[in-house]
Amino acid sequence: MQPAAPNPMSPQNRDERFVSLFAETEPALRLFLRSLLPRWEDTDEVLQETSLVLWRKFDSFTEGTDFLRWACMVARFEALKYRRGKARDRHVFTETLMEQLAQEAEDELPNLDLERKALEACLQKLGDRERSWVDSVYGNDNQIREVAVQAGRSAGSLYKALHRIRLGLLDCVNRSLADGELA
Amino acid sequence: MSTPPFQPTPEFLELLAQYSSGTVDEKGTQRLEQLLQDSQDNRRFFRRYLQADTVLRESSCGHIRLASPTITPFPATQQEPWYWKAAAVIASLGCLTSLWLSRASSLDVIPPSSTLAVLTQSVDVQWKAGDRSLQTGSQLGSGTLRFERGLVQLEFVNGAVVVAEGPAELELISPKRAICRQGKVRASVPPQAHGFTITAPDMDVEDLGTEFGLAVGHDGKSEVHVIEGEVKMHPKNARPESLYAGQALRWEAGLTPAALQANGNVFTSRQELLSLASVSSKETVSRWQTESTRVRQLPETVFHYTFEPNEPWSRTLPNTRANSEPALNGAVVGCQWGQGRWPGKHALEFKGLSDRVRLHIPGQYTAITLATWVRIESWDRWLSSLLLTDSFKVGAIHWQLSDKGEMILGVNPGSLENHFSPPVIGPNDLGRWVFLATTYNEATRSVCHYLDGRLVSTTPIKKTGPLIPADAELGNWTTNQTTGTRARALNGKIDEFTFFARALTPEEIQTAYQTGAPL
Repeated sequence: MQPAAPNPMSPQNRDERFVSLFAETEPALRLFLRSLLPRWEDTDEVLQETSLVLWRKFDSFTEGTDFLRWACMVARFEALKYRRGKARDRHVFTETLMEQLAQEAEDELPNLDLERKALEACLQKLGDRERSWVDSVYGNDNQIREVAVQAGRSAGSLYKALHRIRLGLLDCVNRSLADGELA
Repeated sequence: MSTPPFQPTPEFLELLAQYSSGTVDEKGTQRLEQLLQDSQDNRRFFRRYLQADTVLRESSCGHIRLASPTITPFPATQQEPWYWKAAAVIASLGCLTSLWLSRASSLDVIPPSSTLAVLTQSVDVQWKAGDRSLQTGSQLGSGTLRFERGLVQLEFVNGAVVVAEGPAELELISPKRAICRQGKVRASVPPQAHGFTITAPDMDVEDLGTEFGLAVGHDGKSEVHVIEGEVKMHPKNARPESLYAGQALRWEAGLTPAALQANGNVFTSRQELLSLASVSSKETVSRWQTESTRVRQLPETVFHYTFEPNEPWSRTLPNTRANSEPALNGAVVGCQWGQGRWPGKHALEFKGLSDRVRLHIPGQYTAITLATWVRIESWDRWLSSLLLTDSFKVGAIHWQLSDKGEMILGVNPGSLENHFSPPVIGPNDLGRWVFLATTYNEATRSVCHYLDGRLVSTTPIKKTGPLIPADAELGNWTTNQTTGTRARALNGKIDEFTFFARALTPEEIQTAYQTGAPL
């Protein structure tokens, strides 16, 4: 049944190809959507939708072109569609701002890899206490109030702690990129 | 240092903190928007900040990084095939986990339906081992039907009606032609279907008027009995010959055909079939009722909807599980009551865009089985809902079908995961009752999809985490402010739906199918 020399676009290769392309780009896509949508649950929902659309439209993707760029285009469209469904939600940005953010994020795609590596290196430098906050808050789907109760802290102070952790990471990334540590 | 790093204002930072933790209010959102619109530096900083948010989230709670080589969903072997690796990588990212399972053939576009006949009645049929069993309502394209015993009625699209008795082997060639290799058939041919032909060994039997019987034995002996009207016989190597009502002919290869007295009574008529069917239907109903009563008592049954309303005007879908909470009753929105799998059985019709059954499923689950009898009328949109929890929050369950006929279980244990079956629901499955079941089992880390009791796919679960369904609905989906484009309304009927807090075994699912299958 299986041809001796499989055609490069046989359905099975097509699956394999999609799987590997999507695996590579998924973190970047998630980040891309996160910068357009107010909450993680929105991000997850649109990413879910986007992954289905990408799979469905994979035939129209031209091999050899930039998959991430194509995926971002689809993701941007899905995010805008999602936003229209939430027109009365006052926490979403205007379409104009979303378009602007999306455009700039796409322009910055080439730098993404480097920044991500820097971020991950900086992540290793987190202290144990910070690490445990991060794990408990993010690991519980941001059920920050519950985590706060367990940790015996106010939700507000936990927010602030996380905010400082994020800023600390950014600072670390800026320094390491400036030092050429990861160039 | 070439340029000093950008310093955001304290106000901007405060809004950013609130925004990313989801606590920002409307005024804050507007102000943040303003600050972002005004400054490219702010926008850049905003993206960096959310990048940190993203990486932190991925680093926590067992979110698995791309490069992680340790994650394999099943015990690793020395030489893993590529698809395990792909599945592991993809699973570790929480995306289309199961795509690799789709086989070449299953990815082909489903050809448009070319129905030649519809199976409209069947009694006590035992299909040949290995063949897919067909039910009443099945649309049949070209192909062969084989059954060991029992009776079926086929209505050809040109109007001819054939009742066949097993053991039989019939091949459907066109709306006006079939081959009978074995079995007893009785064909009723209305004027508009004149010319309907059944090919028997060494002979074509062409109907020119109302009714005839044909028997093809496994020994190669065949008989034709004309019950009413005229039949034209076309022997393989001789001239055609007409037979009239009351006449019959017997032949076998190499011998001269012999004339007989016709005896129509040996061929089951439609009236006889109908009365047999009603007896058989009672047996089916009682078998199903016994099974349903058993399911009601099982501790792992969370809800068991049999779609039998207390009153015809009722807008409540009662959970029939013993000692169930009233909260587990469904609230019917929009749907009308219609006929289910057999006469007297009720079903809910999902037609309108807003037709749905709302329900609340309390608790957390590490293993579930979803099982339903559904009759899909058509694919009106890309995704059709069976059971979808609201939005796609952590713990979500999205059980749905794609217009390619894929069964999909989407779950969100902290990252999204879609478990696809290959396209298994074909055009000929539309308009008939199908039994769909899906199991999710954390212990074995697998999701299995079943169609009519048959396992059609198994895919690995990548990330575990309890399923927390909470608010959900059958046949539709509520996400925040659903718009038309995101609608997932089902076009079809449901007449049974069960949610178990356990992954049923393949044998249990096969049994559930057999005890519930319509005639």
